[in-house]
Amino acid sequence: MHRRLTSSGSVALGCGLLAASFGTIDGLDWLSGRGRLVGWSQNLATAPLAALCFVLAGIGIASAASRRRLIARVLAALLVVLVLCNLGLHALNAEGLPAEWLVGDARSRHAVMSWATSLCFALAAISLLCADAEKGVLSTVATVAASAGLVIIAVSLVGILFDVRSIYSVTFFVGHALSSGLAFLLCFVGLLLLEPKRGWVSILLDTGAGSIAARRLLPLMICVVVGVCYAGYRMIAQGLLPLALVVSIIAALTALLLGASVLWAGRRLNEREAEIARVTTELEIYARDRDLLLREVNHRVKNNLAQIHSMLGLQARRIADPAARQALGDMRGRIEALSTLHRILLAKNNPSTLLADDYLTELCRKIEEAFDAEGRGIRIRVEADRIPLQLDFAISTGMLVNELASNAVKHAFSAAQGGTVDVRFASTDALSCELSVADDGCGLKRPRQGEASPADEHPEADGGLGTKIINALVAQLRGSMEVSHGIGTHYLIRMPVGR
Amino acid sequence: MDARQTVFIVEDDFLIMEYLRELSEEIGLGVTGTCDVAEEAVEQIQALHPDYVFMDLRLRGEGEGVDVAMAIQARLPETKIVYITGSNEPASLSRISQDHPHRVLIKPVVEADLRRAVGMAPRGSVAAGPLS
Repeated sequence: MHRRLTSSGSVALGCGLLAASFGTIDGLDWLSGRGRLVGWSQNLATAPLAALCFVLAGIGIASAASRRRLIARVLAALLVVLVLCNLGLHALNAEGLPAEWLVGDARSRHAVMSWATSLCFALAAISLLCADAEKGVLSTVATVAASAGLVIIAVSLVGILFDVRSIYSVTFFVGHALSSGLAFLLCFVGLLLLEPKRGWVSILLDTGAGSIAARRLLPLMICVVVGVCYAGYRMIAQGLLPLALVVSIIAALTALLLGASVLWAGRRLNEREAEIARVTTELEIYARDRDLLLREVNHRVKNNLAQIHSMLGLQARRIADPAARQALGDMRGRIEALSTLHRILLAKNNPSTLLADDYLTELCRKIEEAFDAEGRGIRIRVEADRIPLQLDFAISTGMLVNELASNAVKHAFSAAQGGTVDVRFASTDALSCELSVADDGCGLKRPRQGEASPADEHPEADGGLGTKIINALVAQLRGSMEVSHGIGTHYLIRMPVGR
Repeated sequence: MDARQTVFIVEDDFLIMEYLRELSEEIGLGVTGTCDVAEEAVEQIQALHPDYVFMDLRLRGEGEGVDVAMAIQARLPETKIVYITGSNEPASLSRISQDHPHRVLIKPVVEADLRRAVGMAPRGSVAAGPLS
C-alpha cells in the first residue's frame, strides 16, 4: 500500500473486497459444476459471467482504493470486454452457453447476465475508469455513472422487497437476483467513496453543519419514503383501499415529508444567518472600540509631548544664559518634530503607515516656521518619493531630517545672505534609500574637509549633542553617512528603507 | 482702558494654559482670563468681551470647545475664535469646521503660530527668541 488510507478509502476497499468475495464464491460454485447456489434459491446466485464480473469489479475497486490505478484501469477494461461478450451472447441467442459449459444445463435462467446487470457493470466500469479524475468532466462522469448505477440498484432492490415476481416480469430486470443487487450496492458505494471530496458524496461526508444535518436527515427520508410506499403497495395488493386513494395518500405524505425537510433546512439556514449577523456586529463593535482606544492613546502621546513642549517653553523664558536658552530651544524643536509625526498620523483615518513626501514636507515646513526661515530669506526645498514608511523608520528619519535641516537653517547662512536647504529622500532600489540634506550657504564657521561633525560649526551651542544625536539616529537606521563640503555642506545617508 | 488686544484662554491642561498665557503676554496680548470648564467659559467670555479666544477642543466636564464657541458667537460676533487643539483627527476637525473658526492651530504651538493667528508680523525665531 503506497500510503495510508482515509476512512472512506478503507470503506471503499472493504466494499470492493466483499463484492469480489461474493463473485469468487459464486464463480467457484459454478466451476464445481453443480450450481448449488442457484439450485437452492434464485435469490442467492448470479450468472457465471456476472460472478466473473463481480470478481473483476471488486478487485478493481479495491485496487483503486489502495491507489493501484493501473490495475484498476486494466480490470475496468476487462469488465467492458465481458459486458460486450454478454451482449454478444444475447445477440447470438446463445444465452444458455455459459451455463451449459459449466453445469451442462442450458435451460438455466441465470445463464447470462440480465440487461440490468449488464448496464450496471458498464456503469461500474466507466466509473472505475474515470475514478482518478479529481475535477472536470471525467470526475463528473465517474460520479454520475456510479450514482445512476445506485439508482438502478435501488429500483431493483426495492422492487424485490415489494414483490419479487413483478420485478422479474420486466425483461430489463430478469435474472437480476437479490444477491447481485446487494453486490452492486457494495460496488457503487465503494466507487462513490473512492474520491470522497467529489460530487454529492462530499456534502454527505463533510464536517459542516449542513453535512451533519444531511447525514441525519437522508437515511430517515429514504426509510420513511420506502416505508410509506411499501405500506401503500400492501394496501393495494390486498385490496384494502382503492388504488387512486392509496397513491393520493402516498403523494400527500411524501409532499409533507419533503416540505418539512425543506422548511427545517430553511430554519437552520436562518439560524446560521442570525448567528453570523450577531458575530459580525460584535466584531464591528470590537473593532470600533479598538480604533477609539488607538486614537485615544495617540492623543495622549501627543498631549504629553505638548505638555513637555510647554514646560520647556516656560523654562526657556526664565533662563538668561543665551547658550542654555538655545539648548532648550533646540530640545523644543526636537519635540516639535516628534509631534509633527503624530499630527500627520492622527490626521489620517488609517494611522499605520505614512507617506514619505507628505511627512517630510510637513516636517520641513514646521522647521521653517520655527526658525522664521522665510523672514531670513531661507527656504527648505523637499523632494521625496511617494513611498509608504514604517512608523519606527519614519520617526528616526524625521528626527534626523530635523537635526540636519534645522542645523542648516540656524548655522549655514550669514544674517543677510539667505539661501536654500535641499532635502531629498529617494529609494535607490527595493531595499535601500538615500537621504540627503544640502545647503548652499557659506557656513558661519567652515569645518575642515572630511569632518563629519555639524556641531563643529557651533561647538559652544550644544556641546556636541547634535552630533551625538545624528550619529545615534544613523546607527539606529543601520545607515552610513557621508559629509562633503562644496558650496555648502552636504550630508548623504544611505540606509535600508523601512516600508 | 488698555489699548492692547485681549484674549481669553479656554484650556483644560494647566501646563499648556500657563505656557499660552506667557506666550500671549509676550507677543503683546492682554490675557483677561482662563477657564477649563465649558459652561463657566461661556459665562466669563460673555462678561469679558475679549478680542480673541484661544479654544481647546477637549474640556473638563460636559461640552467641548466647539459648544463654547457656538454659544458665544451669537452674542459676541466680534470675538475671534482660535482653536488650539491636540487632536487633529478628521472627526475633530470636521466638528471644528461646523463652527467657522478664525484659525486652527495644532499643539504644540510656538510664538510664530500665535503671532500669525492674531494677525501680527513674525518677530525672530522662537528657538532663539529674545526674553523681551
